[in-house]
Amino acid sequence: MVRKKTPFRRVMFALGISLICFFILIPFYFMVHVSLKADYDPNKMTFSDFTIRNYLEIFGLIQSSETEFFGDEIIRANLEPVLKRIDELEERTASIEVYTRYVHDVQLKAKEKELRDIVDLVIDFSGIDVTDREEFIENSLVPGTEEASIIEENMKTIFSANDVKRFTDLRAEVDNALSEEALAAGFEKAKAQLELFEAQKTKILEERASEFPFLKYLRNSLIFAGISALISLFVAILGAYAFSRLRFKGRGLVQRSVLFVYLFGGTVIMVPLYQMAVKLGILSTPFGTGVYLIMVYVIQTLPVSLYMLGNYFRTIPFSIEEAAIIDGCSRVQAIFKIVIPLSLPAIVTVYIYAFMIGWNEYLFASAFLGLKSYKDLFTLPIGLNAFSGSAHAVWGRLMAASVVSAIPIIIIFTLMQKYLTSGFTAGGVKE
Amino acid sequence: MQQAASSILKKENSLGWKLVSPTVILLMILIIYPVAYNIYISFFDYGITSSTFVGLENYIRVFKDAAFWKSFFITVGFTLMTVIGSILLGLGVALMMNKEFKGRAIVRTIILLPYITPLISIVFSWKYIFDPSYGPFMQLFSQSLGWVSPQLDLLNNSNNAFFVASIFNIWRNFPFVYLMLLSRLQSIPDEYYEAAEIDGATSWNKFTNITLPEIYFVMGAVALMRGIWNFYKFDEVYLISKRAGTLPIFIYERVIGTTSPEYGVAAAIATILMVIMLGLITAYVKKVLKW
Repeated sequence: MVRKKTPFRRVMFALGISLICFFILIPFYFMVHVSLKADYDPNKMTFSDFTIRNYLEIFGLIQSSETEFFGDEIIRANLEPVLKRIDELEERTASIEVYTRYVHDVQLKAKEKELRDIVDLVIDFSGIDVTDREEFIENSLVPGTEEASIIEENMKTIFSANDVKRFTDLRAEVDNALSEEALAAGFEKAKAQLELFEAQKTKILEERASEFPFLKYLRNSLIFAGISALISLFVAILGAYAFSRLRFKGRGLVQRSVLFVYLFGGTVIMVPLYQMAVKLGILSTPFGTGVYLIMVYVIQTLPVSLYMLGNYFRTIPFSIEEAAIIDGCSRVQAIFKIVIPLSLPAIVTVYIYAFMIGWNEYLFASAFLGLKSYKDLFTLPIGLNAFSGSAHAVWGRLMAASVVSAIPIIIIFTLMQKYLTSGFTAGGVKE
Repeated sequence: MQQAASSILKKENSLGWKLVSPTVILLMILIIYPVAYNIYISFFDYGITSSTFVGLENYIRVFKDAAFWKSFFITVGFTLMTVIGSILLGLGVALMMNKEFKGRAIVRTIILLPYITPLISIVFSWKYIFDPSYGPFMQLFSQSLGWVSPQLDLLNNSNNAFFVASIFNIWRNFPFVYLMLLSRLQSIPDEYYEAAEIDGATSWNKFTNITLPEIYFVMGAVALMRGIWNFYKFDEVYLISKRAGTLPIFIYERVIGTTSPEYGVAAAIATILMVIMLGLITAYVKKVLKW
């Protein structure tokens, strides 16, 4: 006998449920909304009418050049100061003679003038009595002269110790500026600077030409998550069978270690895993990096797979296998001919879980792939995040990419909800 | 007879080890060894090319570092907030979903959405909502209602970035709590409630005297599990805001996001994190899990 609910409570209940659904759906609403409406120009910040352009764009069906989004002016404005600096530096570093002339004519003059100004200031400030100002200043710039020590004495009372030191350093620099070593060092420095600006120039030009390689990220994510989930599944089927069916020494210990990983986070082992890879030189080739990343994903997904499959195998009656073994099947054959076909739903569920862990992974991908910036191997999480931080990020394309990468997972989940939710409560989650 | 039995046992033993050997090898190379190596690194001043033994200096440096303590307390605050928040929200939703009503199937799917949607798909939408210059949140609360200052930057200010990260974490993870609690709630026999009703118990009485004791154990287990996971949560926090400043981000910034990596210090912090987690995990294994 259940008491009837009052209408008031029923309304409150409906309101509560709708409120919860509302809060859950807000981010999804904006995701879809912006992906269908956002305009390209981030400076205008206006949202134009309905468009599916963002979707066509991320699939590479249409391609707007960056000029179309941002206008040539912005790029030209960014490029101009860089080009100017490059011209200057190129002229200066044509040869060591040219550089020497530059140092002598421009740099040294400027520095000497600075020194003179400082001395001038000191004279005025401390009221030193000088007969010939020009001559006094000229002499005071040579260390060790009487004038120089007068200036230094007075300076100590006016300036801070740091400023005095800066003055003497500058004076020493001017004295040494035309020595061969200083010239050579300065020349090298100028050349390095030139290279830096060249790199900046190509970056501006290249970034301008690059489009948003969503399909490449998607493919990489599919490969990394798919392969690692497959390996993890295979290893887990063998392991889970041993855990659930066989008695062997050290079973408890191995199981406990697996549990340890299940609760253990990536952050804690990131430093040593990274160091190991660097020491072994794995990260120096894209191939090695990819394989290493897949192996790290396997170990991350293995505990979940082992735990869920072990639980499932225990529900299959042993008598079925027993009959097969009596009929002449070996134990290993029994796994492949009996256990795997019988637990197919569980295996698919486990695969999806393992796949989703790889699909969502950010930390290791960013640590390993980001180091040498193997842009061709970028997975969706790091690719999208890197894109969102670049100057060319456009909300519309980001959101369209978000929608496209979410929809397959949501569809799979909705179709298999029964299996997957029971997987959650059976402890089949790992974060 | 005895001999046959022992030979079967021996065979089982060797087959068992053969089958778990891939697991064990992977575990050794990619977990056990790195954990040991991490502790080793933490005693060294570890550069890119050279390393010198410095004993406990890394730890002393970490413990003297005010930034570490700030980050530590942010992490603790983040963990507490997200665990309490997701438990309360998850419990409320589970209690509601335990009742029959029209459209329950669709609501069930909607509630699971935050948890199953790939992180990378949903995180930009959250960033967009809280974007300081044209996000809908600021447009509503600052421009339209005027409740908050227009200078407020929820994402990039290190003092409050972890707050948005906490809200996001609660939003994303409460469905997990809800699922765990719901499956426990559904196993409570209806007779308990019927008996209580005959005795004239109110809804609140029923909740505190029947529901709560029944789900108490599961709730503790889920809280502990979420606590462990959230304590070292990296991606969900980092992708919302780089400035949220929890310990995993603190470590990451010292190794990956810098031109002069401090491996020794990072390893020391990771070791400290590991010790704390080991405490939590031991509590979890002892009190909750029966493997």
